[in-house]
Amino acid sequence: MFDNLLDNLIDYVEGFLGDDDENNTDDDFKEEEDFISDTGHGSDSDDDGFLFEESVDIDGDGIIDGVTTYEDIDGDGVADIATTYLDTDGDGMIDSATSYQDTDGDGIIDTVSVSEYLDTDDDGIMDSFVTDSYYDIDGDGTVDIHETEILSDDYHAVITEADMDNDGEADYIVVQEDLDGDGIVDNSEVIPTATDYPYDIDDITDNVGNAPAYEQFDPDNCDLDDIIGDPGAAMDSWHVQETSSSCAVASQEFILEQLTGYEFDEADLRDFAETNGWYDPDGGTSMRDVGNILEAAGLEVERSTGNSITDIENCLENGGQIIVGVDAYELWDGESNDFYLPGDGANHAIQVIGVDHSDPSEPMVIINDSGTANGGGAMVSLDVFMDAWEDSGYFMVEAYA
Amino acid sequence: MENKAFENISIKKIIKEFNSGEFRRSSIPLEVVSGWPCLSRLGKTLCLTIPYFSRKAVDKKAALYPIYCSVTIPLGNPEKIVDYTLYPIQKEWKDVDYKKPVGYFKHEALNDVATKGEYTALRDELYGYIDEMAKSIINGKPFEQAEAASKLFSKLMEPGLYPYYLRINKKFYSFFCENKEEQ
Repeated sequence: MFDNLLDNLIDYVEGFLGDDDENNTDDDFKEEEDFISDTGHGSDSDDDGFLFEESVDIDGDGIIDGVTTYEDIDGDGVADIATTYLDTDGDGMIDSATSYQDTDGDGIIDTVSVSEYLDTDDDGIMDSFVTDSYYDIDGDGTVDIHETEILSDDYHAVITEADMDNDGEADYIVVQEDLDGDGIVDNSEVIPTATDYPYDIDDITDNVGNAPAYEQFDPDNCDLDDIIGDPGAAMDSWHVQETSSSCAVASQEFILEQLTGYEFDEADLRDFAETNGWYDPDGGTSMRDVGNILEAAGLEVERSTGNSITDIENCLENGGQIIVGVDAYELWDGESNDFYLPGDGANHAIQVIGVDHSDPSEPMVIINDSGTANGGGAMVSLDVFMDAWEDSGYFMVEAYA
Repeated sequence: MENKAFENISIKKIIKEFNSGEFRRSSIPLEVVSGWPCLSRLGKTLCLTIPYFSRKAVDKKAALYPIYCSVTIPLGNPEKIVDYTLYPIQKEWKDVDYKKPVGYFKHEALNDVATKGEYTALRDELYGYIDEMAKSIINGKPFEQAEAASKLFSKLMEPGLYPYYLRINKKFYSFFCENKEEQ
């Protein structure tokens, strides 16, 4: 049951780099994969962010219709994203973009996105930007997630169709809408469509429904001298927790991936923790057991209470990773007075990935919150964070490689 | 003889301190929160039982899940655990599905409670009544505020969780939420 997990743990402990050579027989993605691997090598000599660009004459009439750019996200000299921008009507304006991406750097295309500008009210003015993205989550060469994003001045929607069992039928559809364009999700619903879907729709509903008014940390738009920690890198490990009780397991997964460089599966970690008595699917993880998975992987772990923001900053500056216990609703609702809940105490584990001192009068704590749909690199004010953290007695787990 | 040890008792404070303590950290999942406590006697010892349940916010409402565990401590010696019960493994609770919400917050009786501040004030008032009840029991005196306490407890008690509170201590919760069935 734990073969994959244990292999990864053993690989890490022994300092052995595992063989990630996968035999992907992906017909859907193969052509583009060859396209990138054949052409996408080089260096960004003009420092414009692209390895290189090439013109495209899509209809072969001798007139250039667009351009294809090749980006090297991980800086290994190999293109990870190839994007073709087209001006199909020849009006001098880009009206579509198609992108092929290797998100995990394994040399295999796993995401394809097609974006178009549309004139939805037919008044001659492009008013909406629609992107269809296709994701191969499990690397089996078939599309698992089809996401449609519609963006205009006063409306934003993301519609996600998941077919994780590859039967050609959507397992569920998630609809999230910002009806007034204020950046806050006003409507979100999960529509189960397959009767035999193996996952708990309630869990998905719970997770997707939470979208607090978090600001997101933008690593490309900040002065790194003001930032403690490396939140830009840590954000990459974030995902929404897979069950309603697995926030502590998911937070440990983020840290494992960041400190070991290996990818882990939350379900494997839950099984591993449950087998050891560290996790109960009906309840969750006790504070004392948060960090046990990390210790099993050979990481150095310290647990303590009564901490301060200075302790967090010291840990981050020393290359450590942090999990804290918080009252989730104080975190999500901040100082709002119009929402309240029964019950007392901390009820959620999150990873703290940085502290932003750009505005010295209002430092921001940067977190990976697995309990919300927008929790990766989420920023909360220090005051709100401290109030939410207090409920756990300022409990903190530090982990070091 | 009046028992002065309970003169300044604050059950709210006892629960807060317990939730900051070692047992809470070591044995109770982080993901659950403490609910409405109840009083009971173990022999001559007056005890406090603290139930725990989980809640998940979905937009501006919260799904409430069945009570997961409870801890019982002597009021006069709150660092001592006299009982810790994990309900999902109890035979009598085998019918409970912990994956399904038992109700959503807030319930109808709280429609006139608009803000967190108002709700907190009502909670504090209820904890004050429970403090008074504890003192009455300890000193063998009648609890004169029973009617007002019952009215308030019935308002604050979450209907979906109420059957699970009754499973823990029917005598206490049914006495204090005697109007609950009518709501």
